[in-house]
Amino acid sequence: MQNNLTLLRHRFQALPSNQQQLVAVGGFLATTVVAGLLNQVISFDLLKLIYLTLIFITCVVIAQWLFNYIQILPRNIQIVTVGIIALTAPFILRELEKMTDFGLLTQVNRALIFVALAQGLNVVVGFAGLLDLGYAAFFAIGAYTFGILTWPSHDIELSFFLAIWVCAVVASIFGMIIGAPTLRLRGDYLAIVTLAFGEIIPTVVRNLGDFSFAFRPVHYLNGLTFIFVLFAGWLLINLLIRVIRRDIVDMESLQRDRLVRTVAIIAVLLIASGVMRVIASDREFELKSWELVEDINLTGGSQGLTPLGKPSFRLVEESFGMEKNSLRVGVNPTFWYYAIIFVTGIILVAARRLDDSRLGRAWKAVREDETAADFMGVDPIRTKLLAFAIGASFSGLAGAVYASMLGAIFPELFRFQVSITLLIIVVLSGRGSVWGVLVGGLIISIFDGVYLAQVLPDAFPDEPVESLRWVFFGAGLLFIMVFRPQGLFPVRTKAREQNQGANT
Amino acid sequence: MAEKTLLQLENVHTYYGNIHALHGISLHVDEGEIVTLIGSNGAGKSTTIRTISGIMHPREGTVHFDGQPIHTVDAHKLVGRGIAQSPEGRRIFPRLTVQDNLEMGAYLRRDRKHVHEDIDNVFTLFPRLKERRRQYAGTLSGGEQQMLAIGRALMARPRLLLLDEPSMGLAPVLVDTIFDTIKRINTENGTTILLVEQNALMALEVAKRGYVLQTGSVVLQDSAEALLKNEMVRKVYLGEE
Amino acid sequence: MFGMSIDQEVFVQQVLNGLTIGGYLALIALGYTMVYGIIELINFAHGDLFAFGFLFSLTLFEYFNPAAPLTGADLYLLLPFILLITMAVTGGLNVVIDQIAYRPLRSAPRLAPLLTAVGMSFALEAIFAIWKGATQIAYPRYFPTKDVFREWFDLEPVIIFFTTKDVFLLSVTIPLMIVLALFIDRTRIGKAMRACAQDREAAAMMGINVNRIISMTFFVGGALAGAAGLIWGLYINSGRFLMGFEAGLMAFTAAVLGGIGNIRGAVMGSFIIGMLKALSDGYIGGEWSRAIIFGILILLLVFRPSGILGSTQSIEKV
Ligand SMILES: Nc1ncnc2c1ncn2[C@@H]1O[C@H](COP(=O)(O)OP(=O)(O)O)[C@@H](O)[C@H]1O
Ligand SMILES: [Mg+2]
Repeated sequence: MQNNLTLLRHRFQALPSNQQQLVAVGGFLATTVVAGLLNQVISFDLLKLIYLTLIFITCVVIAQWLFNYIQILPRNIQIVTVGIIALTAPFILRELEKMTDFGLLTQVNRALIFVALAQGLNVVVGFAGLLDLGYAAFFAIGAYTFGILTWPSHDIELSFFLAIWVCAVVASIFGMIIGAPTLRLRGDYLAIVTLAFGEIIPTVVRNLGDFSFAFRPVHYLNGLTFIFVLFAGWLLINLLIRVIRRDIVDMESLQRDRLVRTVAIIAVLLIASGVMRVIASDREFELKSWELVEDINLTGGSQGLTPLGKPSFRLVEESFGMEKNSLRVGVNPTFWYYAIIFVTGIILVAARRLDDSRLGRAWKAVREDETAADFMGVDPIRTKLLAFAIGASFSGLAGAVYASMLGAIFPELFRFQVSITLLIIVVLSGRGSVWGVLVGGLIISIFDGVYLAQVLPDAFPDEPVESLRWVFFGAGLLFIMVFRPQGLFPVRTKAREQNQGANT
Repeated sequence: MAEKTLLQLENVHTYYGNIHALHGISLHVDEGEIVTLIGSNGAGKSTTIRTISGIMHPREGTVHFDGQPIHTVDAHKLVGRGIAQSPEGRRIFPRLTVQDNLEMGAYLRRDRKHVHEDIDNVFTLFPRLKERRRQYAGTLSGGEQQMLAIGRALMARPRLLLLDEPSMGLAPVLVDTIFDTIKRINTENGTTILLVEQNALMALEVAKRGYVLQTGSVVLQDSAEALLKNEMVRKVYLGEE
Repeated sequence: MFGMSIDQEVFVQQVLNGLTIGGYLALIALGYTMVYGIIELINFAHGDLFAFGFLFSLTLFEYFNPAAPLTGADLYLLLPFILLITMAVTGGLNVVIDQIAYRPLRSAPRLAPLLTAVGMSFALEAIFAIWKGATQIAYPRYFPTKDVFREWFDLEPVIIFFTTKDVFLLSVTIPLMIVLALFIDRTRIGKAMRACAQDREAAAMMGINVNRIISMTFFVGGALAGAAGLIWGLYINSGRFLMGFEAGLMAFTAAVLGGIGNIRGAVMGSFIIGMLKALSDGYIGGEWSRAIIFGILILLLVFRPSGILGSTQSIEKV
């Protein structure tokens, strides 16, 4: 069976690139239809499903054709073409929207935000090759910074146009804070640490609504003492193991031993003081819990923050003598489309330029071989730190805009699933390819938001198909990774080299 | 000696992804022979070994072992049929003990008693390993690891032993020991050996016949004595002017 | 009891809680660490097998419908029987998951199986939600509960509770771990597993059927997670379709703490995480436990990148 698969894969990889893409996308959609048919529902509208699937495939094919075509055009024509498509899109979409009832423009807006986020992740994962499983953390930081700065109850109410840049900066600072300690870690461990950060941020956000400090010092110390005891125990066991396992002696572990010894001494001192505390604290010595500050509500806890600041054009209104609030944007999708296109455009241009820059080359050098890059004069630490910072700033910006567009944020918006969706976008589209992530991000987000969230549940009203979206994603991912490991829209020059890497 | 063909490769093409590594190799090894493959770095020697042992499969061409086609058979099944190898770079299990490494070599064998005898045989062949039998294999020196790799391959009681650069990175004294042992394995157990070497001189001295590989093709084949005298071999592989 | 102050009793109680949490976490963590050891995959769907063990054993109990709490033959025959079936089926499910989602990707870039694992995890959760509903599910109190200190030893602690359920939990988890350790250390298959973990290709050259060994690893890991699910059910008496995610994350953290790929490390890491969770639940507040555990994970990895016991088994290929 494995042999047949290999054979099939070779045959597939012998096809020209655009046919490969077609087969891959078609196969992906076919899986969804087959999966749907397997459901054996009698009451659903098969024709409608097939019809919509065909429309979807057509869109993908057109997108793909455009993608290939645009890539070979000269730079300035590329920009003009993309610009024209981008500017006229809402009107076309508005027309299309009248025929369907999917809220297409809103979906496109959401998809564009996801593209912007995915571009940030692409810098980290695609360019610099650092696996980040908690990227939604930066998204959350951007959105919450925006929330804190513009939520009316905080009495800051910074203007939208200022706040989004603050968010980008704050997110990039967090990017460095999170990035700094992790830079020495190898691939999987880096993934784990980023995952941990991704889980911590929503937890912290949830707990920072309505919080007051209420420590009970006696218990608190007891707990701390125990943690010290554990820590010391761990160090002791560690040293023991090192002594027993004399067999592994290399310079690195020797140096680490010295560190362990130093820490052990500190730990022993701490334990001693902790033990004395416990002895000294008899039952009479019972401090009541002390309330430190009045309640602070920074993040709204699990309720979240709402309403949030929207862009306002008071200056324009006043200078043109318009009525107050006549330019209020509210939830008007066309306005948001242009706002998002603007921000996403900036991010795209930045990503493009970074791709070709010195820094971009440094990232790729580090990705391919960190040690070799180091010898060639690339400072891997600085380079990776910048990847984290820049990637985070993209998502901080996008997060702020998203928060403003939604008008409400809460911790559930930034779940692990979001990090994974973004990662899937980057991997399926083709790691490291800016245009690929743009096209792939649009297709996948719209596929998710329209097809999986609206079309399928319509077609199978009695089945919980929407909750099976991860089955579809998983199947699609599996399919594309087996047959086209470099992604749907890979970087052209890189396609061949990755192909080889995948087969060894 | 009965000249029965044990291993036969015909027009074998092997690829790494899109890289065409073997361009139609044909060769044969008779029962009881030592045959050597020589060639410079990247000539395709290791790829040939990997193709024979089923780690890789040819996209074209056939491999026959003992008259049976084996080019689609997976590596782990070929061990049971009598092909064992000491791979390039030794590939011992660093965090298993020496003893356990040897036992892994006999993984498919059910005759526990004979396995223990064979472990003792390996220890007489390589007394150094006996002293270190309870030690993690990763803590052995390079030469000891090479001995372990060969010993481990012998544990399968193979009919065909594939050795990929057993002398690589070893001190000259050790190289001699290793080649002596190879010779002994061949004469005492009657094991057929396909030996890949960059050290062409040594290899041709122990081998009966040899093949010269260049960029994935056999460019020369002859008896070992003839190859030792061959001008091109002397020039390119023995480094003579 | 023993002249302890209330504070000290609270403390002892938390330590006992930590032990029990550590016990079931260890069963889950072992599966993570074994699978990572052998194919270097963070099997995100592993936590959901724990949930599966919970749901499946509940279904079995509902099928046989014994009286709760169990007595006599129900306790001594039916319970072990259900434990075995649950372990076998959960293990089998893990093997199937590997065949479907990971095996075709053995030669793809590392990121690909990682992502299908995440997708598999979400898919399983969706299936569980459809199967048993998305609400909290009650697991009947099948296991007889007796207070060990009060009823067996006639002691009168004010706070400390240590019941037959705790005894049960520890007396299933600890032997399972010991058996596993012996299996990996001593048996031919166990050694073959370690060989595969260190060098799959070389293992194939020894005649080891690597795919079968990988399947076995998935089976053993899944079986342990299934056992953990059943034990959780009998111990906590409630759960839901998402429980695997949370428990999986904890167990995974424990596996990393102990040096992922390292069997003993996973057990040790689990008990440490169990203690930390119990103490932070008791002294700081349950809502912060997650942040604290992950914070410690991050600190640990930063200062000691290969976990507590380092990688004695597999990660660093020499
Ligand atoms: N893992 C691999 N991936 C891609 N190409 C490889 C790989 N291993 C070897 N090759 C290529 O195959 C050819 C033959 O290599 P090899 O058989 O290792 O040569 P030798 O053992 O004679 O030095 C070389 O050109 C080498 O570049
Ligand atoms: Mg070689």
